[in-house]
Amino acid sequence: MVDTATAVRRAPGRVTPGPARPRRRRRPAFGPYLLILPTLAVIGLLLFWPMIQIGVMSFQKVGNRQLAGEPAESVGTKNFDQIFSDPLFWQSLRHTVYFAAVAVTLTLLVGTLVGLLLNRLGSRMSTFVAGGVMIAWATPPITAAIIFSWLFGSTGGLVNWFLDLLPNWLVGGGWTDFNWFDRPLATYTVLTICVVWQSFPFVAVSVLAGLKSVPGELYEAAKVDGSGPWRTFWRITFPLLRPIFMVLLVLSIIWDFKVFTQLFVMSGLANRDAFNLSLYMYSEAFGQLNPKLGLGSAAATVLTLILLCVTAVYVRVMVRQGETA
Amino acid sequence: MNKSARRFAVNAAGVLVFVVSVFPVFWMAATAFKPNDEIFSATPHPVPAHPTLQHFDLVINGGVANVGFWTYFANSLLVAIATVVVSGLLALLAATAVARFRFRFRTVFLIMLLVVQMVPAEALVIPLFLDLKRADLLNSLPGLTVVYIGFALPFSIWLLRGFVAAVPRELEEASWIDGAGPVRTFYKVMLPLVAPGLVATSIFSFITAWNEFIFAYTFLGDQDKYTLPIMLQYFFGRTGNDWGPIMAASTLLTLPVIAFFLLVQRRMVAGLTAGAVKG
Amino acid sequence: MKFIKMAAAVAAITVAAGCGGGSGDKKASAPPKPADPAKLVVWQMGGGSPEQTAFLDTVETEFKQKHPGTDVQIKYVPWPQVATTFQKALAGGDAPDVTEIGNTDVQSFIEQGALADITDKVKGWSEGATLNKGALVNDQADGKTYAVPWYGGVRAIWYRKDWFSQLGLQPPQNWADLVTTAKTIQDKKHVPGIAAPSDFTNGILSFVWANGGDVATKQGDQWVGRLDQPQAKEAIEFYTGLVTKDKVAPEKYVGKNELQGPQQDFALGKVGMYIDGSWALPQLEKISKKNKDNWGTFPIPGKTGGTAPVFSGGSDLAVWAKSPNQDVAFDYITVLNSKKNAQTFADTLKFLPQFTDVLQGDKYKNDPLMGAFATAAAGGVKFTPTSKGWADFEAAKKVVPNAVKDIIQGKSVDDELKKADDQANTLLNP
Repeated sequence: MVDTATAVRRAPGRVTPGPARPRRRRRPAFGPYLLILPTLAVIGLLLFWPMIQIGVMSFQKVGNRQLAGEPAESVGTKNFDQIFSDPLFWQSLRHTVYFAAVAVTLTLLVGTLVGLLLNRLGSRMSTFVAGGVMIAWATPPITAAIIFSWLFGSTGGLVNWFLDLLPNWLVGGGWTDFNWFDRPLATYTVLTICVVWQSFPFVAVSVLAGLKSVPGELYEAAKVDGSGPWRTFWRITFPLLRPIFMVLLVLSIIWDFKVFTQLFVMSGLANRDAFNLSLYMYSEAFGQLNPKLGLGSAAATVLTLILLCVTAVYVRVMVRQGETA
Repeated sequence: MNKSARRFAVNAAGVLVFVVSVFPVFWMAATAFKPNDEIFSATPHPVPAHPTLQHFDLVINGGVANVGFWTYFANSLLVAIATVVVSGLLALLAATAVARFRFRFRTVFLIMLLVVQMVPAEALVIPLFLDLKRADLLNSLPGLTVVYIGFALPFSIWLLRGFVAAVPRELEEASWIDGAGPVRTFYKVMLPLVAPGLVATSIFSFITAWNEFIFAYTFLGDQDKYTLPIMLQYFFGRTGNDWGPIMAASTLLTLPVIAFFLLVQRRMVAGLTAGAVKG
Repeated sequence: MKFIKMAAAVAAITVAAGCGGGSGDKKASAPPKPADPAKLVVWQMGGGSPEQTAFLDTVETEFKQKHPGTDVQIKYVPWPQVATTFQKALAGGDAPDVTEIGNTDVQSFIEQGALADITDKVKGWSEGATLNKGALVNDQADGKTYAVPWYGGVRAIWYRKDWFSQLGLQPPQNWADLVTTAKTIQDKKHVPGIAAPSDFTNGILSFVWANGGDVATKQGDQWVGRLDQPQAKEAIEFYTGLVTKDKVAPEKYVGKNELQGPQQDFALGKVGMYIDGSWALPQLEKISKKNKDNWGTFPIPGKTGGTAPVFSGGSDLAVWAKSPNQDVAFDYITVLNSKKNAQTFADTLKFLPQFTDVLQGDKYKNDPLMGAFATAAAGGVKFTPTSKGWADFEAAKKVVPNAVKDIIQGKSVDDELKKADDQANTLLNP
């Protein structure tokens, strides 16, 4: 009994990339660099370099004439001043943050529960359900947005039809012509449902894959210990899958901060009061024939910096790990 | 709760998850089979009352923008598969590096992977367009594939890193002690154990490349090089949208992803059993 | 196809390089002039239906009688991607020789230097003499012409003829009539009387113009926002009042455009009236053919009578400024937009060709549906301000739709129109 408990407690240490151990074999020093070299080349050229270009452009005035070859004109911090003095920017920012907080929480919660469920199901049932879950993930965002706009549509929408069937004391009346897309709160309710529906499958599949790689003996041991499912999850599953959860959390934040297509389809440019940062940026910079790339780049830079701050905690943990190594 | 009741509850929950996941897609597919007047009917019909293939016929045989459906389809498939294979391979290498080695720029590298994902794609389109133009890679499917690989990579590495880290180091060390070289260790020990992770990432990269629209549209010039999601855009008009064909095209767009998933899911199970034997 | 094009390209290069092989046998007899390019790139907006492809094939055949060596390569640009596509072309990507342009975008294109000056070419084009003058103004800047109108149409109010006769209603002649008519339909047919979507700049402006107002007027070389003037304000109060005060238009269209609900609902008999162009007919028929014979239109009425000056929506044709083949490109336009071809194409789309004599001709006199539209188009069409910033004001910032939405949702009319004017003052003077 005592041994098992130690094994369980020691388990997390095994998966967290820990300090180098003396037992480790000598390996060629250039090994890791060789391994990351192709990645560095691809990412450096295709993502990092354009990103730097965006950073530079955020201090410039860049339109079609500049793109066609005229030198870009430096405008100092004018682009940033314009953004920060716009109340619509701050409103869009609030929407972005609130939405991300709610959607990320729900995505991780639902995704983890479904992942655990898939692990509990028999293999045939698991394949069946996972297949269904995958379908939600595979749906193109634009299609998902259209489907949800319809389900929540005013006339002939399934949701209004259903809410109207329910007794009035429960949900109130007058749902038939309810407009889900004319006020931010209602719009974001639909948007959250749509985005969570599309993103929980990825969390579920990742959690499932993680669970499959957890040695079964640990659970056997926990069972012998008389540990309940709740306790087992927090004592074994969560610590073991912590790296995976951290990745999922950070990525979900990044993705939900940038949601564009779905909101564009649902309420679009005619409902400025429901803008998020991506839509704000699009409307300010890219929606017209002569794009204001400087302004758009400034907005993109702000968005990137905010995301950096949000994930700074995680980066710090990572840096500390790196330093202790 | 006794065992069979619990089993029932778990299965019931499974069915519920399935229904919730599938319903909107079912609605999409059902709509694709509905004649136009039924699509907008006031009382929703879950199942088409008068199913029709007219929308599918228009999408597949209608010569949208004067290019055949199968041309779009083949382009999409080519780009998606190339993205999956190359990004999976590169990601595995890089994930092994960051999960198994301590090296000088490891942290910088990891932060960079994270940071590059934060920039909104709409902002990246223009600089990438100019860069590709300079590199003479515009209007080519390989050029587009390279961009997709770039976009799938950071994420794939992040994800795989967790899986590689979760492989017990002892197993690997045992293999080293057995005198196996790095290649053999990688192939015999690592690969089977990270296979589920590879499956998850490959599904991700497949979907990324398969559904991507804005880069495909911006970088490709010739109509016969276009991918499927671009076709979808053609049904959104100035005087109205053709919802039937949009839903039919979306259904056709979703099918290969499901097929791909079912294909690799079997591999995933095989990988798991292999891992269990080793373990 | 590819090989043929490639071969043609090779042939052209050979010709251009002066090696004049056997490929130009027909040209040998022609008077000396610059060799025809191997291909002419033409951009068309939209989905490229098989009908359109077939039509363009016949145009190409006709065009080739004049330029046998030139292949026409059509590229279809999806409507949602129009801005991206042209941004890319302006940034040095693939560009057309000839392009279709939505008519509200023409001024922005001119400002970007994207279009070639075709003033002299238009003057030398015999059929061009009867081009709709009202529409041509929208294609000109500083006395030069940069595009020609191709097809266009105007908006009117669609209604149900059967309902009107059952309820003893006549097409309304003024705003008060419009409200009573809508109310009658609403009471008797139990569907909303009229649709008043908020994302509908062009429809809303018809009411503003009908009342003698405007979005902005040019003072000196500056555009000045005019939405806070009494006429414009009254019109916007009337439009928003359809939802808030008279309650003849439902709230479910707030934040939406005429295609996101009103069009479907009208086709299915779930709303009494809605505003759209003649071009809506094919779409309406696609949704439901059941009531097709009972659909009619009447012009948008003025406040106390008369008809509102209507906005012309449609497309124009232009030669790309950087095109090396401008003469051939314009020749293509004269074939594509010949009176005969323009008529054929406009008919399939339920738009109208842009020649005054055609519009006033017999064809439309006897057409019950298109007749009213043709009369309106030949008479007083009105365009949105010919400001270079209009596309930004209308499409990217959607200033009027957002103001109208806020007013419907209870914000102060004066504040919102003041804000809209401020935006007009900035955006329309880029």
